[in-house]
Amino acid sequence: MHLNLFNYAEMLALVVSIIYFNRIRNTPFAILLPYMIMIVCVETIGKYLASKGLDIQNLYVFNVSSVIGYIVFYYLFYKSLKTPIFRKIVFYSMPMYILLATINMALIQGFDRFHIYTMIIGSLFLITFIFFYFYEAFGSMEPVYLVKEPMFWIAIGLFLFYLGDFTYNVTVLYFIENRMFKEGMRLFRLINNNLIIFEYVCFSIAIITCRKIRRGSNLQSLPLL
Amino acid sequence: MQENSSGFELAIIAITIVFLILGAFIVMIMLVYRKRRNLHIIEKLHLQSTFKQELLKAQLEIQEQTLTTISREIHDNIGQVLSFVKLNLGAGANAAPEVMQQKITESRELVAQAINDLRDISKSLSFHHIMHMGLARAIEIAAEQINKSGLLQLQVNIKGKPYGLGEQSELVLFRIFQESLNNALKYAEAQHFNIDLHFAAERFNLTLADDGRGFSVEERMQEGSGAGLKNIENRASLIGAAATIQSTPGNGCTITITLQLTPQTNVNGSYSDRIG
Repeated sequence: MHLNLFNYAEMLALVVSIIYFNRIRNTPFAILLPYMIMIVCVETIGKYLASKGLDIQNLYVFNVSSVIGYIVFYYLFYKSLKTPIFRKIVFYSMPMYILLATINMALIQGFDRFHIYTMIIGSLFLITFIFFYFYEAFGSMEPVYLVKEPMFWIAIGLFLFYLGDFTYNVTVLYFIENRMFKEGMRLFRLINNNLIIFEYVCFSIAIITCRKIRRGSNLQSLPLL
Repeated sequence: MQENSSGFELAIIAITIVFLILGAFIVMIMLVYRKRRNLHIIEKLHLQSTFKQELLKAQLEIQEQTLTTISREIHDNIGQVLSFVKLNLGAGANAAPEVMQQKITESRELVAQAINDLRDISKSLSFHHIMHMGLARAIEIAAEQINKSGLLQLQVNIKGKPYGLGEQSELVLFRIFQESLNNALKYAEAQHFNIDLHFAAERFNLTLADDGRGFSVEERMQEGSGAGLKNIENRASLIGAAATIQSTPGNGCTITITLQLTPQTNVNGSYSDRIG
């Protein structure tokens, strides 16, 4: 079974979240451990099945795991934002997104096709929440050392990943409809796989920068629930 | 078809790269801006901390000065009066009834005077009491006390309708008044000390002038013995006021503090009802 560099980046984030679990245990970032386990399992099992030539239709696994991924990220933003209106928007977007994704997969695009519509909506939501975070980080009247803030790294990783992936997500339907699978895959490998590396390296840094008790980071002092 | 698809792929890659560069640019701007803002906030916090320290120092100095005045008052005035009462009553013990009655009357008057003096002292005991009265009234009371002691002749002139300048500004201004009064008493050998408080619509002026022996401001500052004068300047700048010190040998000293009133200045109503 041949693993790509992005697979190693995902495994790195998983290993880091296990090693530093004590640091993130009592913070909202604890959710990154089950998330990373899910991602690594989904990717590795998918790779394994592909390497064995087992042509099992498993796109629904990606669809479901990506929806969970969006919800995990929304949850992290919900816990990190302080402005009540931003928190409210993020809070209500979670059930709304699950509803939209379910409707899309059940009635519009189906479970066995990429849920492109809701991926685009999810990315737009996420980029909006990232801007909420940036806005708060910009305007804070207290000294904020962004490079020491775990949420900053999460936001940067997600921001560049979803910004870079946006064009591909918008055009992927064109490739599918025109049966340009080869071109689509080439672009997917070039854009998505490279951005994944950056995203998970950022996640690893976020976990490492997390401290058990840190003043100045409201996110880390917040209870898990 | 092949060429079209290659062109399409290239376009997607180019747009993606543009998006990523844009994203990275936004992140860089944010980091640089945040760094500058942090520096600004830290500087501001440092200034606030210095300001608080100076205020606390001024508050302690006012208390110290007040205690010194009280101690002097008790020793020089009340103590003397009570000693005289004691002697009076002692002398009258074996005297004729008329003489004794006279001694008792005299002693009663002296005790009443001591009680009045004690009441005056209690007015100057609390720093909060001073601030509650307002700057003009606090200066007037301090002037009355010094005048009573006969050490120096103080005159307070108030122009305009007094208004509050905010607790912190009034505290600093009162301390400046005390410090310059102290200088006039200790070093200047002055006979008179004039205090002008000018409450104008856009600015407040405090002028403190003595007729002492004066000094060369430049020389005093250069010699390094002008710590008190520098202190007055620094404290005035803390509350956003400007201090001007004018003096020449033989011509006394005039200190002018000008505080421009801004919307931030805590002008919290008039004190006129408390004056007089």
